[in-house]
Amino acid sequence: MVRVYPFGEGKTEEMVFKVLCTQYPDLNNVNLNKFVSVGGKNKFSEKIKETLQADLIPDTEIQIVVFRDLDHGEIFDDVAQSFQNLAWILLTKWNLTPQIKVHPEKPNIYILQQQATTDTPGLRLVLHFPDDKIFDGLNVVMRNRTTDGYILALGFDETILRRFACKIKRDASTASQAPNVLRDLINTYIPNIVASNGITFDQDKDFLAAYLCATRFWTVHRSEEQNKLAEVIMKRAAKYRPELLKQMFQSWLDAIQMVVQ
Amino acid sequence: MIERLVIQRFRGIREGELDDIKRVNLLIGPNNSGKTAILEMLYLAGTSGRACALIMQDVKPSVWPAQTLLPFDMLGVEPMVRMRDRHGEPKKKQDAPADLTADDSLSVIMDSVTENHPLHQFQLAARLEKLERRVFSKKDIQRVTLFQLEPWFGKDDYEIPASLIPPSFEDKNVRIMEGCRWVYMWEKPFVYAWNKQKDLDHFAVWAVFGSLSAAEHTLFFDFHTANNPFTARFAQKAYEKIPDWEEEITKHFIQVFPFLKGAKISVRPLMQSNWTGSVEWPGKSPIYIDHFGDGARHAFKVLAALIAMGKRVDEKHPGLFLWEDPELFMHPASLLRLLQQVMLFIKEKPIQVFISTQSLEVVALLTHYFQSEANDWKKELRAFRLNLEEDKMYAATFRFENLKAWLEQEMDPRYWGVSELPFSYHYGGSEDIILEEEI
Repeated sequence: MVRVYPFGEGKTEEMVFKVLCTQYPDLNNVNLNKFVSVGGKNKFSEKIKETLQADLIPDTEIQIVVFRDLDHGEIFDDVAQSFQNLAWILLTKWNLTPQIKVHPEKPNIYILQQQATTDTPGLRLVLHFPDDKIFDGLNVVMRNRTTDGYILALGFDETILRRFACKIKRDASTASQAPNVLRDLINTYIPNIVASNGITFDQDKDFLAAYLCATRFWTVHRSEEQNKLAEVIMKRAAKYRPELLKQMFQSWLDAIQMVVQ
Repeated sequence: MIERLVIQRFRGIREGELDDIKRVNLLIGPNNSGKTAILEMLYLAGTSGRACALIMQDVKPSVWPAQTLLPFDMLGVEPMVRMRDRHGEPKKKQDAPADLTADDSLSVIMDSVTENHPLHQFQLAARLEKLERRVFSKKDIQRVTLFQLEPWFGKDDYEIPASLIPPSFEDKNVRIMEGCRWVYMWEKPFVYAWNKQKDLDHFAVWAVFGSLSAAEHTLFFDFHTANNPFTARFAQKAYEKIPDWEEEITKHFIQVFPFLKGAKISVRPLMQSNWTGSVEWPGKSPIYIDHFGDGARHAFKVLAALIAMGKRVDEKHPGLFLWEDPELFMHPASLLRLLQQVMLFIKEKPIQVFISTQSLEVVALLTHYFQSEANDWKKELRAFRLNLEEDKMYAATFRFENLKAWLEQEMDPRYWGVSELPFSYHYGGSEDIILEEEI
């Protein structure tokens, strides 16, 4: 029986994964394991090893899909190399050293494949990095390439911003301008005020914090958690802009499909 | 200590292997995945402590050193009677293929095996050096259903005939040698029933690597053990030979059931020469433990038997404790305390334990227990998640850190398919749930 083990850095990835699985029933045909949030990029190796070690059994294949952010200064190949090293550690007992390779058509997806034999286990690892195209369309400059960036890109969609505007009950006379006003607050005014006071403001999480502030998230949703904001954005996208959600997260869906190919 | 088990055609397992076995071994997995079968194989190998010689025709050497089942196990029960009982088989086999010869050997004729095969007809007899001793009696026609092959009198250079080597053993390079014994069993309900093509397919064969415990140090604890009183053969002997048996039982039992503090646990005969425990309070009539409830009865029997074994074992004569379903009848709080007592006991004694369980609580409680233990002892924990696919047994091997990671991630290590903990759903309030109107 083939099982797919999804891993991600944190709770946002877990939530995104769950929403995608709910939204796209095709993914239900994949025998997905519970999503494992490793709790920080430095813990991938340890958590993947602890989780998978038991299931490496000759004549069976396990499949891993990893959603990894790319921090400032990191490059795809180096991070991919670290996952290749991890695979080699997992397969040390059998002296197997499969190579990780970038997907020929998707530069943000890497694949490592080791076929199972009667004497050795099989391992298929798909490593997904955020797609640069998502960030190119953002009107803000961020140091990192993260899942939060995807959320932000989705959150700047006019329909989704309009839903936030409705919830915060702006004056009816200015309602038509609401999405633009919110967008400007989030990507320009709040960052500028913060930055002009000597406080660094350059990460996706900073922008999500501005988003929470501009949309009166605490007042409306009784939460200050970015993860909950992300979930609301994802679910709004699923409900009102499904085609956009699919377009944005196409590389995630590709990665999940690739792992079971 | 047993280190590895290689299996060929035992019950529902066509082929399988368990490797990297340690001191505390949990067997988990779906029904019909081989958990109980493993306990049974170890039990049968462990109770095969009767030295004999296997005599085969047309084989050189024709006499091989072997062991076969003893008349009684540690608890005073006949091994095959117990095994048949567990599987709803008649306790006595009318069609046993064995017979007693004039010289008190057991002659076995396997009609289903072709005549030119060494195991079509073979004998189990007294070893040459003990010819004067009577090894078998008429009762053994019913009792003896297997033999355990040993290296040829300490010499590894005599090769076992090729027709006696299961194909999967050949593939895995399993050899009869010092520290590896092969068990051949011919009783039909215990032999994999399907697709019998070769002569050897009429035998269940398994190889046990490592040192096997002696039969008197092999304890198989299951539903039947919990439900039945002790035999006099076991309890009376323990009562007479272990001076502080009752004190030790009392000490541990009260840790499991603290409400019994101040009471003394005695072991006394019942009618029909069976024995059981009773709780004695100063100035009050004793109450049989069985009258307290099923959980108390289970815990008492486990502790009494384990303590008795613990008194006999030492580094040269280690013990083997096979425990099926520790969760049987146990409330989680009592189960936790019972597991703690058993683990404390096992840690101090050279005893290896195999626990088969369906209970996530047992897995979690043991993992939790090991969490506060030293690394050396942590390394002695293994959990094997078993699965049968096309009757081949696969074993996922969890170390302590793997179990901990799975449980921390709210994943259920018992499952192959679905891994989320069954109780991981939330009763969260509105704070944790995004309502449809919020979207």
